[in-house]
Formats: sequence, structure tokens, C-alpha cells
Amino acid sequence: MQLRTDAVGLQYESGTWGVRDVNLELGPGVHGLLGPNGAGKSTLMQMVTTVAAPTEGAVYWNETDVTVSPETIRSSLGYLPQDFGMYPNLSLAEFLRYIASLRGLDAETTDAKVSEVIELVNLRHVRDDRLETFSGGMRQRAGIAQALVADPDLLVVDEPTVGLDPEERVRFRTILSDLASERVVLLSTHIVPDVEATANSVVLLSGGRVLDHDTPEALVGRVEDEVFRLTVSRDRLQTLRENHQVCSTVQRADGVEVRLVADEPPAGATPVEPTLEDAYLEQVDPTTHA
Amino acid sequence: MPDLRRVAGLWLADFRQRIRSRRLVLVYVGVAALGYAVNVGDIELVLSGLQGQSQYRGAPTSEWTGAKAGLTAATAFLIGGFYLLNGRVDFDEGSGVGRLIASTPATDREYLLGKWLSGVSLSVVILTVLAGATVANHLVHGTGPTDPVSLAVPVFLFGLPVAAVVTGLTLLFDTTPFLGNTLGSVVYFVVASALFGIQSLIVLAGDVPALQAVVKAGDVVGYYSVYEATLGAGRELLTDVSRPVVSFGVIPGEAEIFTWEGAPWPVWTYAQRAAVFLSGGVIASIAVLGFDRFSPTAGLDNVEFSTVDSLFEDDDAPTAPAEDPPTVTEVSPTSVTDADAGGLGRLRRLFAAELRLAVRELPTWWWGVTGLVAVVSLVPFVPVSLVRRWALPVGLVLPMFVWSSMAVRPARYRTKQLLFSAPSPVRQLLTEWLAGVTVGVVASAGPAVRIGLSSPTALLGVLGALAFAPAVALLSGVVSEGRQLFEVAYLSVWYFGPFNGFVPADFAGVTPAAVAAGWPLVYTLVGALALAAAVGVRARQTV
Repeated sequence: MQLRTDAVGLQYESGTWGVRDVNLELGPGVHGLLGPNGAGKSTLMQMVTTVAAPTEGAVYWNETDVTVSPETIRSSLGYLPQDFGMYPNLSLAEFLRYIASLRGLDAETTDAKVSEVIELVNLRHVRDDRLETFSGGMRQRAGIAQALVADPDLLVVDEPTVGLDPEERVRFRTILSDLASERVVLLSTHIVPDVEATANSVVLLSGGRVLDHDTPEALVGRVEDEVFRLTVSRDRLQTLRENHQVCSTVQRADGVEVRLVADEPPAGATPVEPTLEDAYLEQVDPTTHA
Repeated sequence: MPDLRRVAGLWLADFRQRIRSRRLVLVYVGVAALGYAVNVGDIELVLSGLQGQSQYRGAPTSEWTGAKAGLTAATAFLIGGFYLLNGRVDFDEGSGVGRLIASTPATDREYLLGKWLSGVSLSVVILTVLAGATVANHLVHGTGPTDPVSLAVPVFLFGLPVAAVVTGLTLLFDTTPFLGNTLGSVVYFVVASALFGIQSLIVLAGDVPALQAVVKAGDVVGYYSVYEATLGAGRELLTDVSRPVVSFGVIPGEAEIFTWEGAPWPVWTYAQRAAVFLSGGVIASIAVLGFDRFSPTAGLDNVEFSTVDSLFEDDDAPTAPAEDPPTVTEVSPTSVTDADAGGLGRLRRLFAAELRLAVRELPTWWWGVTGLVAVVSLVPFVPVSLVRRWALPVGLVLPMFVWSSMAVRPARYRTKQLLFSAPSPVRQLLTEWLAGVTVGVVASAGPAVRIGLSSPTALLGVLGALAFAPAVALLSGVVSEGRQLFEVAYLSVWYFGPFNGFVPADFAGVTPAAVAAGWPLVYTLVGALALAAAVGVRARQTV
């Protein structure tokens, strides 16, 4: 079970490249796609899911070119787009049956899977309610359910936890982790802790290109001994921002507590344990690349 | 008093959004084609008598062509403008902009006034294209000097007031419950057809001032002005006729050519056109009555969130039970061994799902009317000729409520990515067509059974129509992703063909002449081509 992209790229009509020269090999497990807005995460996912055709390169599912044979990947795919809708006049169960019929499940399996995924996303109490009555978080969970209903070998989820409350977010992470042992899961998100908690590997994207692709541990290891914390005045904070990658700030009674990435510790700074967020910010920030 | 700066802001934003639409290029092309048609005589203005006297067409001078272009502009906006200009309130709701506007101090009146001005502005652009095309084509095809003023002024004099009224009506329909959908399209088409037909009342009004005043008041297009302006020429040509008839449209038959050097538009025309224009604004104002969504006092509760708004929690939504939901391992998930299994069973399930989607959108009264049509058609003492002439056309317009949404739902409800990433999106399209055919069969079942018992050949025509219409709807939906294109096209053909018995447009064989000439078969083949084209387009859309 393998998803591979070979120098894949997509150019918009305006001439801008959304994604370019992306080479990835992804086996079973959760693979996080991290990148700032406009990095090309959704574009890459659309090519993988055959919603958009690459301008160059190819996407392979189990060594079959999906541009040539899109059916190969579509029959193995569960997809939660970032921006999706549902038919408001259908109930949750009816909508899931509809998606199951599109994905080719037989009647018996459909009934079983619909019940299972409704349980999984904790929507059993509204399975026969029309989708128009759902709150935003419930709609997002319904979206997750439709992605899972065909028991996909490849699960592609784009910003899946947006709109979920903290409890449901944690639940969803657990679901992803549980599913990932036998599946390829491609997870795109802005929420670094979601990736940190679930991903076996992380792809850092920026400007449509892959900056890095490694395990979370390896990425974090790249900023080992380079993350510091210190409390400074507001005036000094501005200076620090100009010279270092500031990862976070917290207001304190005696100033501002700053967490930053630096080759050498600024005066008064103490080293702290690095996180994936530190590594991500260090890599995608253009000032630290220059 | 509206805040003019806010109105200007709303107007400009909406106008910019509309004018930058790529689909408008198709409208410009169509309008330019009209400019050609009025010059080469495909669209005609004919003077004649009521008793079959000779017909006279004007030579394509600037004055004659200008008059035709004016009526063409007005008629085109009357029939097609509604479908081009409507849906702006829905657009704001769907795009999420409505939610933003709802939180501003903009009042309903300001909002709708801005929308009305935007629609009128867009109409000015379209009319300018028509005027330009008319002048350009006159240079090539016209007779005598090309006078831009004589050619272009009627386009705006007659076209712009109609555009103002139609824009007002789109806002009124958009904001009136039950009229913002297919029912509104049907109702509007009936109203527009009646206004188009008012030209036939001009002669009937004769010289009775009161009747003339009534006809002038209802003459939104401006036929009466053209009639009066050309009356002198008509009387000179048709000396044996007391009141010549002026006909406008696609008019077959031979006609003699005469040269019209033009005449001033009657003075009352300018006042009448101004009144028609302003009535558009009045209609837009009336739309405020049914529109409370953007009122500051209404708050956000009245906004139907359908897009990105889904990210906002709804306090009224059902809450989850307290018990802990299971994990993946606790669920013991069923394994899907063959996701492409099922063959015909799979098609059947997909068809059932598509049919469910289709009929869920039907209002309750639809079933009542469908039942009534069936019962009336099957009553033995109702003559089959009446069933064929009246019940069948009704049975053919009812399924439009489903057909017009075909292939439109994925864009409307933003499910395209889900559908297009599923195996064989083309199969989904075909089952959607089958669902459309099924709804058509249900709506026309009564008339079809009755007609079939008396004439199996005629029944084939009906069945061909029920395959043709949803196929065209599917193609229209796949290409345009909106209801309007199909609604205006289908209603036009339905109105001229099954409803009025114009044989070449009678796709269902309502008239025996159409069946004898084989028109239903022709339309069935067109339907087959449309279905193939829809499949081709969808296949291209899905890689």
C-alpha cells in the first residue's frame, strides 16, 4: 500500500504554480502536511484525490498512475475536503448511504458501515435528523464520517479538526491513529499539535514546494539546543522579532515571555525542550532561511 | 433616507462581481448575434392587415433597423433578462457575503437599492454591446447611411426600462417565499409571455382612447410607440386597411420591401419609458416588504447559513448524549473487501439515492397537482384530445422542478469534490438522468397512459420527450452549474411547442402534425446527443 508522487506539479491558468516538483513516497501511517496558507497543501490533496489533474509529473497509487487510471485510487479513497457541503434535505444516515453508493458498497456492507461511522463520530443521536439542523461541528463530524464510510485504504483529510471542540478534536486524533496502522492517511492542517500527536511523518510545504519530509522526531531534532525562553520588555521584543524566529509570546506581570529559535542564546535566555511547532516555524519562516 | 455612500458601496461591489464573470462573455456573444439578426432580417418588423393583405418589411435603413433593435433589446430582456439577473440575494447568502452585510448598519432598502442599481448597470453594459453590434452590422449589411443615433437610441429607450423592471422583479422574486426557485421561474415566464403578447392587443384597442391608455400602460416593451411611429407608413402602403397591424419577431412568409425614413417617437413615449423605468425601482422597493434578513433589528437569526458558516456553532442543534462514544477498535469495523461490487445492484442503490435527492426538493403542492393531472387525464369522459392538448403540457412542465436542479446540486451544495473523487462520477450522472426521467414519467403518467391507449405512436413521442428534457437539463447543469439556462431554454421551447402547438417546437407530439412530421423523434435524438455531451463534459471535469 503506497502513495507516490513523482515530480508532481499544478499550474493555474494565471501561470502561477500551486504545487511544483513534489516527490513523496508514503506508506501506511499518518502523514502530516504542514505549511502556511497558500503553501499548496489543498492543491496537492486535490491531485492525489483526482479532483484536479497535475500539469506535470504523476501520482501513483500502488504503482498505478492515477492520472491514467483514476478508478484505481477512487475505489480505495476516503476524502474530506477543506471546503465541502452536504445535501441539507437528507438525514445523516441517508447522506452516508448516498456516499456509500457512490463509492460502490453493497447494501449489506453499507448498512453496517453507516452505523459504524456514525458511532465513531459520536452522532448516533442525530442519525435520522436532516443535515440542515446540524451545527458546524456536527457537520464537520458528518464530513469525517463520509470519508470513513467506505473503509478506505487511502484517507485524505484536509483541515479535519476545524470547527471541532477540544474533546472531539482529541477523539478524531485517536480515530486517525487507530486507523493508520492499515492505511495511508494524509492529514493536512494548520494545527501543529494535531500532527505532532498523530503523524508518523511530516511533509513541510511552502510556496508549493517540499521544504522537508521526515519523522516528527527528526524534524524536532533539527532545532535541538536552538529553542530558548526569556522574559523581556516590550521594546526588546521588537528587536528579538527582527533577529530571531519568535515562536510564541505570553504576557507576564514582569514583561513578555518569549519563546524563540536562535543559533546562539540571547542574553538572559534559557534553553527549553523543542517542539514540532518550533521546528515548523523555523523552517517555513523566510527570515531564517535567508 | 438611504445612505447614498452605503448604497454606492453595495452597488459597486455587486456590479464588479457580476461584470467580471467569465460567463458574461457568452451573453455578449449572444447579444452580438442579436445585433446581426436585426440587420440581416432574421428578426423582423412587418406591416400588414388583419385579413391577409400583403406584408411589408422595411429596408434596413438606420431608422428601421434601430426600431427593430430597440424592440429586440426590450423583448430579449423581458424573456431572458430575468434568468440572467436573478439570484443575487441567494448568491450573497451562498458566498457568505450576506452574513457580513447582515452585521453592518446597511438597511434592507439600501441593500436592495444597491442590487437594483447593479442590475441596471449590468443591463446598460449589455445594451451597449447590442447597440455597438447593431451599428457595426449596419455598416456591413444596412441600406443607406449608418446613423449611430438612430440605431442606438432605441436600444436604450426601449431596452433600459424593461431591464429596470426585470431587475426589480428578480429582487421581488428572490425575497418572496416560494418564488425564489423554479416556481418563480415558471410564474415569471407566464407573466413575461403575457407582456410579450400585448402587441396583439394594439389593433384591438382601435381608436378608443381608454383602451389605448390601458394597452400603453401595460406595454412594457414599447410596441405601441413603434406602432404609432410607423402608422403613417402603414396607412400609405395598406390603403384598404383602416388600422394596419405591426408584427415583431421571427416572421415567416414573403413580404414587399419599402423604405422607411423614420419618424419622431411619439412625445408620450418618453414619459411612458421613464414611468416603466421608475416602476422597476418601485418593484425593488416592494421587495423590501418580504425581506427582513439584513435588518439590524432582525439580527443574524434569519440568515440561513449554508457555506463557510457551517463552522459556527448553532445553539439550537441537537446535543450529544453524555455516554462515551466507542473507539475504532471497540466498533469492530466491517471490512470492505470489494468497494466496486454490486453491478446492477450498485446502480439501483445509486439511482434510489439520486431519486430520493430529487423528490426531497419537491413541495407538497407539486404532488397534489401531479395527482390532479393524473386523475383528470384518466377520467373516461374527458376527451383524449383535451388530455393531449392541456393535461400533457402541464405534465411536461411539472418535472421542471426536478430537472432544473440536475447536475446543479454538486456546485450548489459544494459536494463536487466528494462526487468527483468517487469511483465513476459518470455513473452518478447517468443515474441522475434516470431519476429525472422517472420523475417525468410520474408527472406525465396520467396523460401518457390515456394517450397511449388511443395512439401508441403518440405515446412514443411522449416517452421521447421524457428522455429528451432531462438529458438537456443534465447538459445544461453540467456546463452552467445553474438552473437558469435550462429553465429559460426549456420554458421557451415548451411555451411555443407543447403549450402553443408550434409544430417544430413540439418535442412531445402534443399536436398530431408534429408526430406526423417526426419532430418528437428529432428531439429524442437531440436528447441522446445532449446526454452523450453531458457525459463527455463530466468525464473531462473529473480528469
